[in-house]
Amino acid sequence: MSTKEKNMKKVLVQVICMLCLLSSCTGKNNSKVDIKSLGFARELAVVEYRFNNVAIISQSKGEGLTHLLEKDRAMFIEYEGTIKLGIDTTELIQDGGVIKIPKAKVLAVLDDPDTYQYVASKDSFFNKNKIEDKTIKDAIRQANDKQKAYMVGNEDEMNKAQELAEMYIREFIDSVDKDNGFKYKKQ
Amino acid sequence: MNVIDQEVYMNNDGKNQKVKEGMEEKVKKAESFLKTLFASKRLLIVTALVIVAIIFFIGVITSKSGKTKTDVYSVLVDKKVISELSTMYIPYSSIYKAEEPKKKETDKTKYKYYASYEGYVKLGIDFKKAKIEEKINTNEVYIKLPMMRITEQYVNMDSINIIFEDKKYDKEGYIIEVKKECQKDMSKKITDNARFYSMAKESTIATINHLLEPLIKKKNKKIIVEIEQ
Repeated sequence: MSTKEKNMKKVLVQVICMLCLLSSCTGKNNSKVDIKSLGFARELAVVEYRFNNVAIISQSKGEGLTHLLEKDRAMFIEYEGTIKLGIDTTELIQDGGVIKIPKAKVLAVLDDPDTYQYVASKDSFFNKNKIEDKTIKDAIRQANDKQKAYMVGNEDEMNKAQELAEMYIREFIDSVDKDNGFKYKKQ
Repeated sequence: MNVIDQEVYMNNDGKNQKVKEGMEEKVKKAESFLKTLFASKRLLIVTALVIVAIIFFIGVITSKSGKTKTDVYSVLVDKKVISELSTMYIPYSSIYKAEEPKKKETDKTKYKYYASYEGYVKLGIDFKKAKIEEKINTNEVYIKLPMMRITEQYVNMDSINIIFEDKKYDKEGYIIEVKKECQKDMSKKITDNARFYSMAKESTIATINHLLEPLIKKKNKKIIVEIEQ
């Protein structure tokens, strides 16, 4: 082997070693620690709505060499769930002889997993255009958020829920002491 | 030399002559290069591979994924008046191991997948079922509350991560099936944990006392709260 070839080999080995070192340094370590704690809930739920959602996911085929022979895809997801309206009892305020009832809010939007049904269009045999789990999660979250937004904007139903909560609290306090003399007001 | 070449030469334009000579030299060099290229088969194959790799690389970097769109249709189908007083919030995270059905009892346990999930459970009572009993000639009021129960339970789908042991279950949309199983798993694990219920009872008694605080302050009543076992 000539001197020139030997030198070329040395340089090549050094370059490969450098590349290996660099690749080991570029890995990112993003650790995440998320601690949630037990807590007291003080919620009085007074109305429960049942809803039916249909989410339609449309995923078009990609462009370019790696997306050759892909097909447009669609998935339909149908499910039921519940929305609960009520009050946070920690927000009850006693002002002298007046008990102020807090405004009603959406306490929970819960999709019922036992009611889920879904169907997807056929995928290409040659190049898959899979509808990923992330897309399905996003679709369901979007559907639930839409329900919540509708209810939050529905002043009529929120007022009715607040009145119902007031009635429950009044009845409870009256059943302990009929002559309590308290008055009730909305916050 | 042909007629045109003669005319250029006779115009005494030295610059044109030099350009012409330069062009001829380049053509000769290109012809020489191509001859060398086609003469060596190995060089030809390498060149072809390099061209294919470049075309492939350009094809890959210019590829674009398809766009995703979601349409949502929602309807409210029922309304019900309830009276749930939730007094304990329990965040929960766990791993659910989905077992393969065994063909024989002696077979080793195999798993379809492992799913990590997060969710929560709320415990509380049916507020309207509270029974009040006031003792005569005393300032004591006995409140008997119904049994503690799960008022709400939810597994957050965004939190579900799956490791498939058997790839045949790694199908499109399977995450929906996994969520069902995780919810059942969480419900079972919480129900079996007596400690949560005991903490929830303490919280319920504190909540009732908070609700009756106005009365306790005004009328100096003593409230005794009991929860059905």
